[in-house]
Amino acid sequence: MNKKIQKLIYKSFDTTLSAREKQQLDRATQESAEVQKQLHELEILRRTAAKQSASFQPNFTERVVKTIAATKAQVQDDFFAALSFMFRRIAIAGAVSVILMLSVTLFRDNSSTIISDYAQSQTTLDELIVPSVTTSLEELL
Amino acid sequence: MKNPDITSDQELLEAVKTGNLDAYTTFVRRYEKQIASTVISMLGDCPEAQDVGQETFIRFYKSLDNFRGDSSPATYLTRIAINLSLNEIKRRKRNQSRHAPLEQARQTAVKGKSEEHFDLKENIQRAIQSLDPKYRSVVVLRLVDGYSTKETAHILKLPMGTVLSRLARAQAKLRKILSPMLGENHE
Repeated sequence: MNKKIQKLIYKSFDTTLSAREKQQLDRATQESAEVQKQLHELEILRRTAAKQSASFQPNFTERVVKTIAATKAQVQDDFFAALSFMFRRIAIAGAVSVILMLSVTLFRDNSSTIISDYAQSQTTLDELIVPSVTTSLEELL
Repeated sequence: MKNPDITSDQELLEAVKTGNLDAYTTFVRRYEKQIASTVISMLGDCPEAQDVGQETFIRFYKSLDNFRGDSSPATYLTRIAINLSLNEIKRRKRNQSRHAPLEQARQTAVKGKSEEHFDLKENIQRAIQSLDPKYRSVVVLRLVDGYSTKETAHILKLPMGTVLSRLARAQAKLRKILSPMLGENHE
């Protein structure tokens, strides 16, 4: 069969043929039994293929939605687990740094206890003002 | 929400975005048959087709925030289904050598089944599955799913000319395989 006619047969199913192409195909169809047969077979093929119907197993939709719900719950669980893990790490790091800072302070001041260190800073207002005033008066006299 | 059957896709998807899974149930029911037709035509009626169908809707759900509505949900779903089917075909090919006896047994079973219910529809289905994947996807979208040539080109991200030439070649192959049966079906 002429290659051009063959091309026109397939083209006729998918796009609109120009007037000239349509005329060529019509003539070929009238003259050749093979062209007629091919057009007919392709038409049956297309019609039957379009009638193909298929379906998934029963409860397909329910399975899809159940999987999505399970995935969502899993993602949420993962998020909280990650959050708790992070919090634990931050808390431990915080506690360690507080202990370190405290130790460094104690060693630097050469103090044996926190209480004694704390007590040293307990100066009264009288101690701060009166001695200095007394000293200055004595010096004056 | 109003009657789910008359709710538009847009309304359903907006509801899904707010976390409404019932809306997604309605959406899946609406497109289940169409996706089944695409996937089963690509892979045959097998457990893998069920998995690919399920994965199609799960992927769509996960990418919902990126779905801008430029193309219809059906087109978007079909594109996912075709891509996942092509991946499954590739995976099968890779495993074919490893699981050759298993694959052979499966093919024998399918053959036996179709010989029992010998009809044109089933033979067309089998013939489509014997095509090379690049021809198969064009045939499934254009002939089975009924998309236009332009839509088929859009889904497969191919030029129109490529779709037309693949379609012509695929039909010629199908005709060659099915010719004796198509000849019997004169109406």
